Amino acid sequence: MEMLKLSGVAKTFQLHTQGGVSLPVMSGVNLTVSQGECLALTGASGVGKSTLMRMIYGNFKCAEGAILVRHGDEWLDLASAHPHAVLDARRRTIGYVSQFLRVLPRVATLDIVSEPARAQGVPDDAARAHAKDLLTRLRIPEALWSLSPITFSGGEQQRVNLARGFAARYPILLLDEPTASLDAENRQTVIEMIIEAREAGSALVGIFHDLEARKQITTHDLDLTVYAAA
Amino acid sequence: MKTVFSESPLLQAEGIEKRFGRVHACNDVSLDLYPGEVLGIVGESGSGKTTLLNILSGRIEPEAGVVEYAVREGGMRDVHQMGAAERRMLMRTDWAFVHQNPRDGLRMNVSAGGNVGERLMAVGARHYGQIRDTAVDWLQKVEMEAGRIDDLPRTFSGGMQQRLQIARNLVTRPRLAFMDEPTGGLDVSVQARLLDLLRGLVGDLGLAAIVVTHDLAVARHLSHRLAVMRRGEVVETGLTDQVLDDPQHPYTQLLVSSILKA
Repeated sequence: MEMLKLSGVAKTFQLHTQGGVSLPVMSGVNLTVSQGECLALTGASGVGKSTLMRMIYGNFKCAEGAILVRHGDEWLDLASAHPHAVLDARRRTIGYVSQFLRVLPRVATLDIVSEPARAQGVPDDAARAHAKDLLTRLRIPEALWSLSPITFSGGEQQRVNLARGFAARYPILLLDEPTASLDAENRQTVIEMIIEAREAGSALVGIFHDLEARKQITTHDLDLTVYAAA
Repeated sequence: MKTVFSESPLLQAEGIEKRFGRVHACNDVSLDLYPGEVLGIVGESGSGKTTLLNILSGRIEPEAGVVEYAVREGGMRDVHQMGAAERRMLMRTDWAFVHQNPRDGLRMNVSAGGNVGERLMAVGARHYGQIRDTAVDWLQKVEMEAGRIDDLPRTFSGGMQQRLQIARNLVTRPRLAFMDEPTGGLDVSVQARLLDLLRGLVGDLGLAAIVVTHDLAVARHLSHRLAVMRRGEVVETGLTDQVLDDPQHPYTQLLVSSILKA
């Protein structure tokens, strides 16, 4: 079943504070991702891979084209959806593991990781139990669970971010360099978790500079170079 | 954070106009707010955001435009057309107003417990023991020691005064809070704590809020949607992270790019 469909998506940044420079990034992007598939976005740095991921999450504005996600029983166009609909899609339908963790000080790691599941209505106990499993699997020592991850190392923060991304079962999951800054053991664990999610029927879109990981995880790829704006 | 919103707004403003002499403080401002939603209003000082907050909360009259509020009994009521008694009742029960300076929202010559209890008595609570118990409960909710209940607010630090003001405002379980720079004037360490507390309370109580702030980090962490104001006009609105990460209007781009990274 098709889960994500982009058609005619274009992006141009208008830099008003820098002399009104207009920076076209891409145009005419079409893609489709179905359940059980993992699409790798490829192309050289600057081609707009992260930009496109952020547009699919509604974090960057999409002024041209349509970004359709299967949200419950209907298609929702994130390019034109009301902010409330985007928030609801993020709660129920689309997860996004970015490269950087952005959290409030003072909030415990366990609360951060269990929050997406609680937002989907999973009871507190079950959400915490699942979060503990994920943190254990990703080798975050139990002594750290009650602390804010703000002072954690880069690799630990990335794993907290991943645990949070996998805490809720999103039909669509976006992964921006999920294995970057991980040691060999954790990298393998993350690859396994992503494959499990894919085999369980999630539709995945990712950026993987890690070629070996890309080969194991993805089912097809899309080189954004062909959509580069002139 | 709550992400499911009902179909009908809690507050709706249309075509708000206000001038102070030659200054156009609000120029055709329209916005809406849904139950449980937090709307951030950002912009530099002098952009009209506090004036707008005061108009939305019925504290000052607009020259033109309408502010409507969904009362508990059902239906939308024009905030500026209702009688003084009805508006006063709203301010005591359904609404909260958190001032930037806690001295403007607290009674400085009344004890901490009295400040919280007074709001309860205003809505009809009479049993002294229960009022005191509720006050203690709320002091703890805002992370103050129950032992300080009989102390006067002026013996408190700025951060504690601000937390006391929040307890005083939220004790009656309002549906809507107006906040004017709630973390302004506080040390950075105290700000983070207050922000975390506010976020938790808003989530737990299902409270809707309009938060005026010039601090984009506060806006990012508290609000679902943002409205950016400049010279009395709302120049951009949208999902908070989209407005901050991919700002469209030249002024929003300037605002976002002007922040110094620590």
